[in-house]
Formats: sequence, structure tokens, C-alpha cells
Amino acid sequence: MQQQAIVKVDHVTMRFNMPKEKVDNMKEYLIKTLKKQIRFEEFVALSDVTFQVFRGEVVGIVGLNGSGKSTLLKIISGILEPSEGSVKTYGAISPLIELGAGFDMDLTTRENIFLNGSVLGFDRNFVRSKYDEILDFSELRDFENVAVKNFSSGMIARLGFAIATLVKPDILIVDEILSVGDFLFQQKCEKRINELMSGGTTVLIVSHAIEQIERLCSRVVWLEHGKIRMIGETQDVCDLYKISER
Amino acid sequence: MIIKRKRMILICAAFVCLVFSLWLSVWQFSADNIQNILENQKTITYPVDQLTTTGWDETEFGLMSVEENPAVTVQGEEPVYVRNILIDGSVDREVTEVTVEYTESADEPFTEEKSFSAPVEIKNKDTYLMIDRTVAGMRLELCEDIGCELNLEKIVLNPRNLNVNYQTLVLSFLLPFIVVLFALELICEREGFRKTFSSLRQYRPLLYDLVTRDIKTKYRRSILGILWSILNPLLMMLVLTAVFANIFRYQIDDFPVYYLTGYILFNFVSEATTFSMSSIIGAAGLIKKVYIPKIIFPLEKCLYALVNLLFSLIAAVIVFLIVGVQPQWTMLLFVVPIIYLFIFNFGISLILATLNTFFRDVGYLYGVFITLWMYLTPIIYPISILPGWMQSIVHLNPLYHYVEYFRAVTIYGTVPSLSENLICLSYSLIFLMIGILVFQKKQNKFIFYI
Repeated sequence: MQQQAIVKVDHVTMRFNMPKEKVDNMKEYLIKTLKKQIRFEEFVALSDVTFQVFRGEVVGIVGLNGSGKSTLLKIISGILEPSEGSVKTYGAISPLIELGAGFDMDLTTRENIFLNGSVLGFDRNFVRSKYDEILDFSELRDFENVAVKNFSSGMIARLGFAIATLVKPDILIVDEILSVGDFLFQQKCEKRINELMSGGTTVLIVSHAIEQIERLCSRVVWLEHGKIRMIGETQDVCDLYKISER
Repeated sequence: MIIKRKRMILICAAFVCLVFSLWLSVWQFSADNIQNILENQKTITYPVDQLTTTGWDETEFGLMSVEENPAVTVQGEEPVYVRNILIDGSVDREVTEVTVEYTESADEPFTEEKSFSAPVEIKNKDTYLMIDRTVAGMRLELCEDIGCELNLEKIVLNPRNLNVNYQTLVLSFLLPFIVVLFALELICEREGFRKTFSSLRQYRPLLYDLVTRDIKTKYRRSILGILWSILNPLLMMLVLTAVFANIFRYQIDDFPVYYLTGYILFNFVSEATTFSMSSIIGAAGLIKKVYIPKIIFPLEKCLYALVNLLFSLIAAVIVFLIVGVQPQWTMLLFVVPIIYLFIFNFGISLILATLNTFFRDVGYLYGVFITLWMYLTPIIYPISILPGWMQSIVHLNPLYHYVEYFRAVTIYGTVPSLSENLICLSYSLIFLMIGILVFQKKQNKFIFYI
């Protein structure tokens, strides 16, 4: 097996300052700073997380609500800067943190495909060449010139997924998005992810559906209160996780 | 090592820059006056009624020469050492040298043997003559021809006023200091800067898409659509011409042209800055979910304002044609002030976007400020109607220089001097660098406040 690290998470700690009271105007800020009254409560979302993902792996991240899964994905995709430690990624990342991020509700499907393509950093000509594929995958050909604000949430999710997976990214980050849409669409998405995986894409998945993780992943990271509880083969981790959940 | 000594280096740089700017703005403009103070030279003021004038006739504007080589005579009681004199007034001819006949005692007549030509120096709009000898009386030939006009208030021997050029003081301090600050940050935070700017290239299509989105959504459901970008300034101009053209008919030749040139530039600034200010908050949905270099958002709003400006320029061209402004080759230079102004805008936008993300008050405050700013910029009125002290405040307003630059090349057909260019460029660079520094330092925290 090719052991080339594509994501290196190195002693990552993420702290959030939670002000005890909300200060968002200048007068209060000035007064509080002068009185040295701004107090923060520190909330540690992740503490000292270290692991590596190798090329072509599918890694699942499991954990209860508030265990830091989404924060970790956001740090890996560059949306958040870690307070300590570093993350190195090698290759293009396609984050599916939330489908349809960056859609402008007033624009049509067509315009949104190009806008969202460039939000993800794709070249315009490239999006043009994949345009038909996106329409077909999302089954929205009849709605090509309809403003997105008239869409149902399922339609938006389909469009978002189609755009985000139109390239073969080196790293695909999926955050609980597979739970949207109907049964058929979920199957379709899984099929697409499987296709990408066989094409060599590395995938990071967060999901509460443990069956889905078992089906797709080769390794699992189990987070608990911001720390790594366990990391290892899918079956071993999932078995223990299921027991602890009970 | 540099990182550890950052504070030390900055303090030293601030000191050096302060000395440099003081030297440039005070010493250069009043070196002789400082010397007068240091050497305790006697200052004597002669108001115009204590001066003897020969060869001049009084007219309603002041004095007019009726003979060749008319003179103004300063007669003291006893000889004093005179380093220089300040002539408070103006001659309508440009002179670089003045012939001075002098006497060494009070009852001596003026002769051509005791004469020399004194160099004229104009500093900060005041005229100085270098004398550098002990005299009792002086006969100054301020003009050679008949028909010169002279507007004299007083003549001061060994003047002591310190002429500080505040503009030079501020700019010559800030520019080098901020360059040092910026360079230091660039060295210390190399990684952060690389991350912000290296991926910008990749996101060029995004910039394009966002700008077209803004244009498309701005004129949605309006029948005339993009035409409004041209119509708006035209209609504004009509209204203001109707109101003000009569008031300023003596000071401004073509009011519509004068107003429009100022208006479209000011509009560019106010649009770019107000849109950018809320650009980060407006893009919250994106910033929270995808990694995009955040500097894209203010940059996009500035580009959008630039596109709007280009449409307004079409309006300006139409008005230029109707009013019948002579086409001049200098008009091609109109891009230069726009480039300066774009950089300036971008800098201000970065600062405002950062501030507004943390404190929403900035948005409301800026609304008031921009109104004040508009009245501090000679858009509707000519600067000459302001009293002197107000004029010096307006001179400190960066926008005044950009607007004047733009008018110089488009209306007056003159090429602005090197110093005018330096002033505009300095303001642009200063704000750009401050903007990038502020934005870069704070951008990772935006996500917690949107």
C-alpha cells in the first residue's frame, strides 16, 4: 500500500474564547478594556489532536455531539486557523461542510453553477465543460433558468453536491451531508463517493450513521471531548463505539 | 532575531522618520527663520504705510507700476544686520531676482554702486529675499516693466515665523515609517502573507463572478437596468447645476463639468468603502463554510465600484461633449488619478471591513463621516471661497488631491507636478499598507464575529 501522507494533523489545539457577555459595540468595548473587565471563558474544542491520513484512504470521524468533529474538519479545510499546532494538506480540497454554501438565492441555476464553481476555486472553462454533467447529476435540467430561491432544500442539496464533486479532488471532506435528500439521492451520492475513492481521492467523512461509516471507511478516528479516544481499523473502533453509546 | 527586536526597530524607525519629516517640512521651509531665531536677529516689521513707493500708482487692486524699475523703499533709523526679508504680498510677474540698492547709514543716498541682486525664494507661498548684510535702508526693485501689479501688505526684516508644511510633515513621517512597519511584518509573518496572497490568482474567476453577480442583482427588475449607472450621475448633475450654477457663476466656468468630475470620483470612494465595509459580514455564509482568501471580498466590492465609475465616466464624456470642453491630450492621463484612487479605496476598505466586523457601530459612524467628507472636498464649491485656515484643512484631505488631479488633466489640460503625484501616491500607499496590515492581523478572527 502506498503510504504517502496527504493530510497531516499535528498537535492541533483549538480554543474558543467565549466572552461572558456579548460586547459588540465600541463604547462598551472601550469601557470594558479600560476597566479590564473583558473576561473570556475558554472553551477547548480540540486538544492536542494528531493523526495522519494517507493517500486513497477513507477516514471516518465519529463522536458524540460537541466532540469537535466539525471543528476538526473546518480546520483541515482551512476555514478555521488552529490556536496551536498545524495542519498540512497536499492537494486540492473540496469541502462539503454544508451543501449550497455560496449560492446566491437571486441568481439562476446556471449562474449559480458558475459562481459556486469559482467559489471552490475552479477554472471557468473547466466548469463550462462539466456543466451538462452537473445538470444531469442533480436532475435539474428543467430548472436551468429558475432562481435558486424557488428551490426545495433537496434540490439545493443535489445541486451543491453535484458541483462540489465535479472535479476529482485530492481530498474530499464530507460533513453529515449525506443525510439530506431522499433515499435514492443518498444512494447516488454514495455511489459518487465510491467512484471518487476508486479514482484515488482521499475522503474524510463525519457522520452519525454508524452503518454508513462501516460501509464506506477504511479507518476511523473516534473523538471524545476534543481528544482522540481511539484511532484504528473501522471494525475495531465501530464495535467499541457502539458499545459505549449504549 | 528580527522578530525579537521588532519593537526596538520600530521605535528607532519612528525616531528616524520623525527627524526626517521635521527636517523636510520645517527646516526646508524655514531654515533661514530658524537661523534668525538662533542668532537672535532683530525683527522689524514695516506695514505698507511706512514704506515709500516710487513709480507706483494706486489702483483698486493695489499698486500698478507706471515707470520702468519702480521701487519700494524701506528706511530704518540705524544700520542693522539683515539676513533675509519677507515680502508679504504678491507681484503679478514671476521674478527670480530682485535688484536691491542699500545704504549703510540713515542719511546716505541710494546709488547704483551699492547694489546687488538678491535671489527670490518662495516657500509655502511666502516670498523671501536673501540680503545677508548690515543696512540702514533698502530700495527694492520688485518689477522691471510698466503695468506690473503689486499687492503689498508688509515687509518684515529677519522674520521669525515658522512655516510648517503640515502635508509634508505628515506624509514624510508616515510613508517611511509604514514602509518599515510593513516590511517588518512581512518578514515576521512570511507564512501568513504567502497563504493570503499566493492563492489569489486561483480565485480570479471568483472575483469576476462576484462582480458580475453584484451588477446583475443591482439592476434586477428595473427596466432601464445598467443604463441607470449613466443616468444617475447625469440627473444628479442636472439638479445640482440648477441649484448651484448661478451661485458660483463667477468662480467656476463650466459648473456641470466641474461638479461632475468631482461627483463621480467622490461617488467612487463612497461606494467602494461603504460596500466593502459590510462585505465580510455579507459573505458570512461563504466564509463559514468554504476556505476563500477573505481579502477577495473587499477587493471585489472595490472592483465593482470601479465598474460603476467606468459607467459614470461615460456620463462625463457626454457632458464634456455637450458643454464643448476642448479635447486635450492630457485627458488620456485620467487613468492615473483613478489608479491612485483605487489603491487608496482598497486600503480604506480593508480597514473599514476589519473594524466593522468587530464593531457594527463603525457602519453608522461612517455614514455621518462620509457626509462630512463630502463637504470637506471641493465638489460643489470652489476651494477659493473658503477662508485660509479651512483651505489648509482641505489640503490635508487626500480626496482633494485626487479630485484636483482629475480636474487638472481633464478640464484644465495641465499635467500635475511631481510633488502633486508624490502626495497622491503617498496617500494611496500609506492607506494600502495600513489596510493590508490590519486585515492580515485580524482576518482569522472574523469567523467568530460574523
